[in-house]
Amino acid sequence: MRALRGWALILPIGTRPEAVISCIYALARRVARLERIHLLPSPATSSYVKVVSRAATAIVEGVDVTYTVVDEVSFDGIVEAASRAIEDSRARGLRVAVDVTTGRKSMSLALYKAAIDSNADLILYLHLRCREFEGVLYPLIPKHCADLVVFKGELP
Amino acid sequence: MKLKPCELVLVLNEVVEERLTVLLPQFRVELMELRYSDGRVLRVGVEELRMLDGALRSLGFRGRSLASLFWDSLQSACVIAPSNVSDLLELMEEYSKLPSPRDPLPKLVAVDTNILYNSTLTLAYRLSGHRPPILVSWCVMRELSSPLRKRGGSSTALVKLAEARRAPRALVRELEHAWGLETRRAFAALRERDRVVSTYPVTVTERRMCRGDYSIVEDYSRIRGCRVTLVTHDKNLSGIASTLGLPVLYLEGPKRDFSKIPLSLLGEMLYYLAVNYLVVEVRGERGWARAWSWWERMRDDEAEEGLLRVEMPPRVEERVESELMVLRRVEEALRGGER
Repeated sequence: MRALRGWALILPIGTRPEAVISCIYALARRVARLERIHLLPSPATSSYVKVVSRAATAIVEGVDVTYTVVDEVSFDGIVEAASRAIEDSRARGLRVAVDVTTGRKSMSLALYKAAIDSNADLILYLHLRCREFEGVLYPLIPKHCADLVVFKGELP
Repeated sequence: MKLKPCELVLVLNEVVEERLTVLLPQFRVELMELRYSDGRVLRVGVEELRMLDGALRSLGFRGRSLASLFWDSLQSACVIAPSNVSDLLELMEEYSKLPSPRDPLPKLVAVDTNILYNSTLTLAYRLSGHRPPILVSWCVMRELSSPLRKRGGSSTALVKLAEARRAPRALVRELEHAWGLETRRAFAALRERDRVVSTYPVTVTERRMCRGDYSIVEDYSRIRGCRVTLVTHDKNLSGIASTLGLPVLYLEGPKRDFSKIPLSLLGEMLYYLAVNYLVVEVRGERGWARAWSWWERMRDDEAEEGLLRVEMPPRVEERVESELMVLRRVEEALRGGER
């Protein structure tokens, strides 16, 4: 069996790229090695992939960013795509975190199901206590206003 | 390190855990203490400022009182609002509506200079989200730029007070050389003008000779084919406008009570405190930082952008700097985005 190395993060892209970037920021601060990010945009948000990828690379130098476009109302389709992304990352020896903060509710629900079914190591939700910071990048939010909530697993 | 007001959060997150203390290091006064988790105000030091004002008067000081600058900072940061702010919000809503057959005249909100000094339009947008067309008199623009020509340092009474309060020598030296209060405030008003221009549709009236407040009212009174209402914090100007038949909304002073600083306004509050007092210090359980609204060789564009020079211990600075570097790269990625 290969030794577990770094982390992979799987998360949807909603209509605010800042929110997706904040989720990446939040996990990158908590784990030593975030090596892979798998984005799940819908056709409507796929144009943000480039922006989020560039931002992710600025936050975590050398991180491998990949993506799969999903139909935001196809529950089974999202579950399948997310499960594949989880398995794929695990096959590379990575621990897997799934963040359900961003995207439509259907995407969050499907991602949650995929994370449970595939036994992801972490299921995360970036809880914004102060709504006025919506759309603000994570480092510019006072620390008590944003909590990285763990639904499953344990943050290192 | 130079930071924008919104970037002060980077510093606060480094130095504060639960209790944030805001001080004026040049006078060794604790201005306020608040809870960083929710912005609740635990203590305000206005009484001590009033005592210092008494000392300043005895030194022959004739400038703005230190206590009034505190309230002014809170108002400009949108922490406290004019007591009749609801009238302003109604006006902003009504004047946002497009002309209709029943009300065919285009409407314009005309502003006095003090509207820019007090960030009143930023407050109105924050509270209502309406963006009516704004009319700015050429005379308001002239008034804004006049303190920029004469940049003299702080009054000798302020310097003497700082010395008497045993402020560190380096602080006193800065106080002696810094731009005067009116210049610093004028730059803050120019920053507000830039925010207004990026938020609202703005028209400036034609160039003309300007002589005092009367010219501003006269300028707006000459507009034809539009419904123009002047908004001002100045009772005298409001009286002149009424006399000349120009509709006017006079904004009364703010209620001076507050129990919380919304966390989203912390950066702005520290910025305006730094503008009004030159320097402001924050302290938390894990360190301190000082934000200056002036420094030697500060450029005009830096002042207009609202940059602050922030000093902090090397350990904190190192962490903030690396965070800032990443943040700037992320912001660049966002700006160059597909959308």
